[in-house]
Amino acid sequence: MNRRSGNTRAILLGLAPAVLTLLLLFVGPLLLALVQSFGHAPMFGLQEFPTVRFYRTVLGSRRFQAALWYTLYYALVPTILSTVAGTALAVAASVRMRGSRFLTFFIRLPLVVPYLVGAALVVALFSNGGLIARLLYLLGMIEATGDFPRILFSAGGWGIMLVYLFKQVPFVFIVVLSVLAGMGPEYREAARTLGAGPWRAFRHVVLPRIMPGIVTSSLLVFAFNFQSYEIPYLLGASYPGTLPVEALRRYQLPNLQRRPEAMAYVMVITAFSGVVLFLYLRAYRRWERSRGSL
Amino acid sequence: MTRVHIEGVSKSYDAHPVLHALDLMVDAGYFFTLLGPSGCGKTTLLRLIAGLLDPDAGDIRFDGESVLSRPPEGRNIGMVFQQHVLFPHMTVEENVAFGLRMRGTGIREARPKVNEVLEMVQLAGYNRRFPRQLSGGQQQRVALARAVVVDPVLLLLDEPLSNLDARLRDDMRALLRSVQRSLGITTICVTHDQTEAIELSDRMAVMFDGKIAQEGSPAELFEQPVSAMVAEFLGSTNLLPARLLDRSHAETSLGPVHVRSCPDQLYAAQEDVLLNIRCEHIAILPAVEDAEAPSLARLAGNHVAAEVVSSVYRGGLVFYRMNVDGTPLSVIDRSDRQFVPGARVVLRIPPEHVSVIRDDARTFSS
Repeated sequence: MNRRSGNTRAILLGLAPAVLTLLLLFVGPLLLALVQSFGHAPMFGLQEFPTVRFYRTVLGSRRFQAALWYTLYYALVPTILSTVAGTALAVAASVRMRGSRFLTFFIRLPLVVPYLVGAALVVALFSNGGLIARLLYLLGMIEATGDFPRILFSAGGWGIMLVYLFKQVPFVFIVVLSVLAGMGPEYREAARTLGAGPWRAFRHVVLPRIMPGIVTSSLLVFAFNFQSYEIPYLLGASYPGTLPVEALRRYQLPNLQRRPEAMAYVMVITAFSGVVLFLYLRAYRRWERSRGSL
Repeated sequence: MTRVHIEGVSKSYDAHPVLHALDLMVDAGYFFTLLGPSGCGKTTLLRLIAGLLDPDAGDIRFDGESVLSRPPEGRNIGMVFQQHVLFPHMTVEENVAFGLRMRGTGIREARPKVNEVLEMVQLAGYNRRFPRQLSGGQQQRVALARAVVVDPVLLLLDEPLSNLDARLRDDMRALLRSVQRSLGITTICVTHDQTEAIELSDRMAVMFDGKIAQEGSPAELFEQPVSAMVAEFLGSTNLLPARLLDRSHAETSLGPVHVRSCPDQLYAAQEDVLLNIRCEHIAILPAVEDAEAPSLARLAGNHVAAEVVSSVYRGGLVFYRMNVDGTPLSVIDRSDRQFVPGARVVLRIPPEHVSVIRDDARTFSS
């Protein structure tokens, strides 16, 4: 008994540096943001804690509602597209065929490129004076480079989504491919010998086996897309911004007394993505349990 | 019941040939085993028959009809893989019913048939279990049930027993045989285990380097191998270089040996030959200690004097290394007595168990 509690103490002590660092760097700022969002900011001459005034301002504004929908849109559409495309490509690459090695190598390339470089690439390619516009102009397919459809800086958000897809299709691809590689071709072959065509072998046998990989990678992609600000900030429309962009704009306002509004945004983003991820995971676990694999 | 005909089938991987113009006929209802070391192409052949691979040349026919244009799902076969490959997210029942469902039967209509085959493999009542809740032997039995439930025209077994421990292997072997017999289904089994092949098969073939070295009944292959490689692959044996004196006598380093009648073409060729003497066919007699007894070397009728070099007891069998005037002989004795190293004994080599094979200077171990 004594020995056991001694062991526990030793383990806790050993873990302490990592745990403390995490608390300091992660939970600390979050707590600070939380109290600021409820009106505790003496350094800016604000001492109204606890008040929900800032939440009311933020949540009641049309800007927030528009930002929320756009954030969901920017987060969900690339998540769905990259999950479907990444999974399909991984399945294609896992089947031994001519070119699957090249495919695997080529698709993984964007993983080593930072998001910001991805953004620069998209600008260079797809802006109105970009490479593609100039190419189309040279080929005589458009009258002037300015006639190239507006992809960047628009409310449609195609520029943002292109960067996300550029990075995230490869991400889903390698996660799913590694699951497929661990699984080997035997399950698919067993299904084929039992009378399943290629599609039914995939749907009934391969897909349920790679589901954990698909769920994990799409969760990570969604969480990133929902919370990242740099790509929407660089390539998005000026109105509406996404939630993180709006938070940053509030944060940069000259009027420091409005800083808690930025913190309210931060708390809403955190809570919202937390709830979405939780619901998604719970739904998946339920599905998995119904399949008996837990 | 289906007859399988393999005609001139070749297959290579990345310019590395695995099968060379291979011909094989498996008669309807037979349990046929392909025996060979790993890498000899036996699994490739099985996968070609299943349709999981396409041959580079040749034809594969079921009852005279070419199946090459049909994908695996169109060949109506049942296959048991080395690693059972049960679908882990499905129950035993769902696994077994999979083939029926792919043929358009609902899970409810499939149930009586599923229960029937589960009973056949002695797993009645395991319907709701998941594969991970079963032992290795049970999993392999579910895999067998899953393969036969659809009444396939052909059952393919890829090293079906290799992942089981020794005791389970015996049970599974008996089960495989009884299921195959009661369904009367043509079966092709791939294995590298000669005991398995000999015990299970009606007919078998030994494969080396993508070619069939010999095909026949287990007894034929065991008693009359055509080459040293086949002889060695089928278990412990002694291969003695010899010269034929006449059809039933050969001169060896042990002296003249009386052999089973030599095949005509071999006798006609007057070549150097090998005598194949299986270790378990040599009988051990205690040496006559009496000084007045005739000298051992002069004992007639394939008797030779020998000295025990080493002896190892392995559950009911004793494995000996013997020395006969400088010629080593291996002997397996099914007896509870055990001679110690240094003991003098007499070995009797029954002529009917001495087969003559061509000395192709190639043994399996080389």
